[in-house]
Amino acid sequence: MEQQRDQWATKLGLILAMAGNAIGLGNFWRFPYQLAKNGGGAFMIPYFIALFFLGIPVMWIEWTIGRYGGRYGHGTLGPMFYLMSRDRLKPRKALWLGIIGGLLGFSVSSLLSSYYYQIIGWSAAYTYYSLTGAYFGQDTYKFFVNYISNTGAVVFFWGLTMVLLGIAVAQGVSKGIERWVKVMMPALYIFAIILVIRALTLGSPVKPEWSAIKGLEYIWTPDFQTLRQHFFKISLAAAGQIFFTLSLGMGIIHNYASYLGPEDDVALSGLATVSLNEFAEVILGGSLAIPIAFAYLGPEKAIKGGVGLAYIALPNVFMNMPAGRIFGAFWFLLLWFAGFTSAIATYNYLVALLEEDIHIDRKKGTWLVFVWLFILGLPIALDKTLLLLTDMDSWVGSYFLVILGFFDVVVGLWLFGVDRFWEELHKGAYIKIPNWFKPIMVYIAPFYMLILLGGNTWDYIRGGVFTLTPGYLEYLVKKQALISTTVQYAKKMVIISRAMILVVIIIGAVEAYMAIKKKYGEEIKKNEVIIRA
Amino acid sequence: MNGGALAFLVFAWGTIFIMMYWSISKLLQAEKQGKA
Repeated sequence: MEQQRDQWATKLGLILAMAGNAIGLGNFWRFPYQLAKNGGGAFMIPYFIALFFLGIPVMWIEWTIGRYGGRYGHGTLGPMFYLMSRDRLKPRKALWLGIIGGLLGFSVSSLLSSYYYQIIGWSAAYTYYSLTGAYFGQDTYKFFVNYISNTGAVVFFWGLTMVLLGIAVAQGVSKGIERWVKVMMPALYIFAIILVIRALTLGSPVKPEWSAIKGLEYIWTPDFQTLRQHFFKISLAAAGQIFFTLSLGMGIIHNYASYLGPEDDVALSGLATVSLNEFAEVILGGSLAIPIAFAYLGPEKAIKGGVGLAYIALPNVFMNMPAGRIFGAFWFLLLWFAGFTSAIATYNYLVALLEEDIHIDRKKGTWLVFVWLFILGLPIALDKTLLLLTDMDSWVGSYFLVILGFFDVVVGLWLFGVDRFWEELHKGAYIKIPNWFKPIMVYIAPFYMLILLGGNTWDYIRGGVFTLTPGYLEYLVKKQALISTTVQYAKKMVIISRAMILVVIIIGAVEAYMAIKKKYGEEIKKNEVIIRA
Repeated sequence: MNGGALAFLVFAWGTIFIMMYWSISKLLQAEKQGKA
């Protein structure tokens, strides 16, 4: 029952789209502040361990699940998980796995997009403000607060980003997404390389002991002592970063892989995606924000820059740098491009869901998704404290991704069957993955994810995140709110965030149930597999 | 830059660069052969 679906026109287009999918704000914005917060050289050791034992295996699993789903005409997780578990569990029980996959995929794509697109909008705004020199000579923290408080400006740059995303996605996979990324991805690499060259040739513009090279030294000096002291915390942060940067556990790698032909390679392509992402993150991303901040602001401010490193600390640098307007604009345009090429993927996931499950025309579906994401994002755009964004990210960005990744292993390997999965992974493959990688995928990667989930849960229990303890609300008000606010307001934002998450989860579950029932109703009724591709 | 940092940097950057070059060139070569 194969359906005629759009497919990637060229291998290069596919790889650039996948790399664009993975390379996002995580590479240039999240990576530097995670690195700085977790001891520089101490962070890089568990980072590479997590890349090998978690990132690469889960990437292969997601490519394989996606291509398998695409063979049946599906680009969303609900039907994919159902199809892969129905032989082992029988259709009626497999339906539950389909619902879990569907609700997670829908929730991550919807909720992540609701705030991630706004951060991309900030980058668009700051590109403009860099070119006009709007923040030059000003307190950059106050400037940022004023921008976030200016609802008109926030909505304008966020809306502009969403309209462009809509235009790219409405044109389809081969004629839209693939054409856009073929221009944007090389441009992104060129911007980043120009900036890295500039960053590493800054010398010591402020004090002789402050330099970009010192920043590199902070990142690359293996610091086993700090790692030993904070082993669990740093290892969790590194594993979380691997998930975020490779866009794992979001459903979007599966979705892009579903547009492959049934015999197209996934083994080498998955590895190429990882390596392009790591080049952008470790070599380019690691040589920008921190080294620049070390040269101009000194080690202390660079390390404490935190989330605000990109939007608050670096503008200070650009205003004091020769040709700062141009380099500032390059930096923020780089962030915008990186965010945009990832956002196309989450947007396309939702459009594919309407197109394939409800048979809504792609163009109409694109603008329906636009309205949906606008409704979801509006409360976040109106919240000047950014607490709504913070709470939502603590669930979606740290939790849902890992749960989804874990279910990837449960469904793709344990239920589908390890040998069958291995055969599927190697169908049309350009490389042979060594057999010793099998136990890494079957046992080590899921074990890693369970530890990550357990660690995050423990942190949340201790912090009072689940029960909204007064201590947690105080922490939000004092440490997380962008502007001063009250405990009552913080509580209201957290409740709104969780209500939104709950509603989206319910919609995702119902949608997945209906989509699977619609196509596979007969086999669920008889509880035996009938439809085969 | 101290020796330890330089060695770690060269090792990490080198590994990533080689992995990227090898995988992309192998993919492009395979696509060319597929078209021929």
